[in-house]
Amino acid sequence: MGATTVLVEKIEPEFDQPQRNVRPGVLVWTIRVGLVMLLFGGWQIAAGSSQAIEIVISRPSAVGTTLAREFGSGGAWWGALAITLRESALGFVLGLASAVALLVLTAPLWWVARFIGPFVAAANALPIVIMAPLFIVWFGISLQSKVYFVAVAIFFILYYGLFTGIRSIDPGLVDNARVLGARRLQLVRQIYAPAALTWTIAGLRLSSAWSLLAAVVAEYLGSNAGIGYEIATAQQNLEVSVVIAGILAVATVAVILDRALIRLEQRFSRWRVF
Amino acid sequence: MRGVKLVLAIGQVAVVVGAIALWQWLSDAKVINTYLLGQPNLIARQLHGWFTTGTLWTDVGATLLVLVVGYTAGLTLGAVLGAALGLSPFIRAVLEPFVVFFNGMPRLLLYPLLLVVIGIGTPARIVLVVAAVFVIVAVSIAAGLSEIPIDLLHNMLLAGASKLDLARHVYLPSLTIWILSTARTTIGIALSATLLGEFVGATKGIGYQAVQGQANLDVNQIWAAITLVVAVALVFYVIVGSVERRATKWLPTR
Repeated sequence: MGATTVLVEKIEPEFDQPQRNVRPGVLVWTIRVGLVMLLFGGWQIAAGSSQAIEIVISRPSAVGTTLAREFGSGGAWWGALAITLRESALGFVLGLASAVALLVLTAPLWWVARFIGPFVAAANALPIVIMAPLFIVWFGISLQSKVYFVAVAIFFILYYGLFTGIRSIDPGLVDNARVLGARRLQLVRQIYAPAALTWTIAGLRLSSAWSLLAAVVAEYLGSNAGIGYEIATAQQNLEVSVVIAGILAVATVAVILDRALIRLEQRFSRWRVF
Repeated sequence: MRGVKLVLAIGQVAVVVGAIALWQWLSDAKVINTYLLGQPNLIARQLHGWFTTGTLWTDVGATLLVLVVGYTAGLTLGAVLGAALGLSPFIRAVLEPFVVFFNGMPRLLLYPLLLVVIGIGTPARIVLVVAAVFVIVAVSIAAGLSEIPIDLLHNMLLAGASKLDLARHVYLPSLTIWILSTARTTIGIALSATLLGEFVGATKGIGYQAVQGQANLDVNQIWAAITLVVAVALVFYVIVGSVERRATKWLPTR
C-alpha cells in the first residue's frame, strides 16, 4: 500500500523536464534523423509515383515552396499571422482581466465563491468550440468575434485555475499572518497576489495554447483575414500544399510559445511556495 | 455544514430557474433583442421539434459515434505509446522531440488536412479525435510511469519478483491510474474535436445543427445544440467518473 501512495502523490507529472542520466547519443540522433528522412522521403516518393496521390497529399517540396513564397518578400502570411496573434493576444488579455476581476469580487466572500463554484466547473467542462457559431452570429466575421471568443475560451480555464489555486493556500499561513497583525490589504499583497501570480503562470501554458487555437478555429469557421482564413480558403480550393504549410506555420508558432512558457514556468516555480 | 450545503444547492437551482424565467420575461416584454439572444420557449420548441421528428437521435447518435470510437481509440493508442515511452528510456529519447512538437501544436488544426486527405465523412472526424487525444494521454502516462520509485522496483527484484510480477503489481496498477486520470481531462478535448469535425462538411450531428443555426441566423437553434452538448458532456463525465471511482477503489484515500 505504501508503494501506491508514492505512485499517486504527484498529481501532474512533468514530461517536459529533461531526463537525467540519458543524453541523446549518436545512435538516438541517427534514428531521429532517419525517421524524419523516412517521413519526408516516403512522402516525396509516394507523391512522385502518381498524379492522383500527389493531388491528395501534395509533396514536401511544394509545401516548402509555398512557405518560401508566403513568408518571402511580398508574401502575405506574416501579415496573416500578425492578425491571428493580435486576436489571440487581445482575447487573452480580456479573458485574464475578467477572470482576475471576478476573482477579486468573489473570493473574499466564501459563500459567493462556493455558490458559483459548480457553475464555473460546469462551464469549464463545456467544450467551448460549440460557442463559436454563436459568436459569429453575434459579432459577425470581424476581429471582435475572435477576440471575444478567445476571451471566453480562456476565461473559465484561468478563473478555474486561480480559484482552485487560491483555495489551496494553506489556511495556517493566512491565520499566522493575521495573528501577526496583517490587515486585509497586506494579506492580499503578501499572500493572495503572489499565489495568484504563480497560478496564473501555471495556467499560462494551457490558456495561451487555447487562445491561439481559439483564434485560428474562429478564423477557420468564419472570417476574412488571418492564418485560419488562409487555411480555410486553401482547403476549399483543394490546395493541399497551402493547407499543410499553414498548419505547419501555426504549429511552429505554438510550439515556440509553449517552449518559452515552460522556461518561464520553471523559473517561477523555483521560488514557488504556494 | 450540511444545512449550508442544502441552502446553497437550493439557491443554485433557484438562480438557474430564475435566470431562465427572467430571460423569458424580458423576451416577452421585448426588452432584449431576442433575434440576437434567443428566447427559452423557442429553444425548448426547437428541442421538442428535433425530438418529435427523430432528428434528435440521428444527430446525437452521429456525435456519439465519433466521440466514443475516437475517444476509445485515442485512449488505447495513447496508453500503448505512453507505456513505450515510459518504460523504455531509449524509445523516449528517440521520440521525445516529435512528442514535444505534436504535444505543443494545436492539433484541431489538422482537420482541414484530414478533410482533404481522408475525405469528408465520419472517418476524418474520428481520426481528428484520436489525434487530439492520444498524445496528451501518452505524455501523461509516460511521465507517470517514469516516476515509479526505483527503490520500489529494486526492493521487489531483491525480494525475488519476476518481470511478470513487476508488470502485474507495479506497472499495470500505475498505468491504470494514469489512464483514468487523463481519461477525464481529455473528454472535453475529444468533444471539442468531435464538434469541430461536424462544423465543416457534415450532414448530421450536434455540431452540424449549431452551424446550421449560424447559417440560418437562428440563435435558438444554436442554443438548442449547446443544450444537447451540455447533456452529452454531463453523461460522459458521470460515466468516466464512476469508472474511475470503481477502478481506484483500492487506492488509499489521501
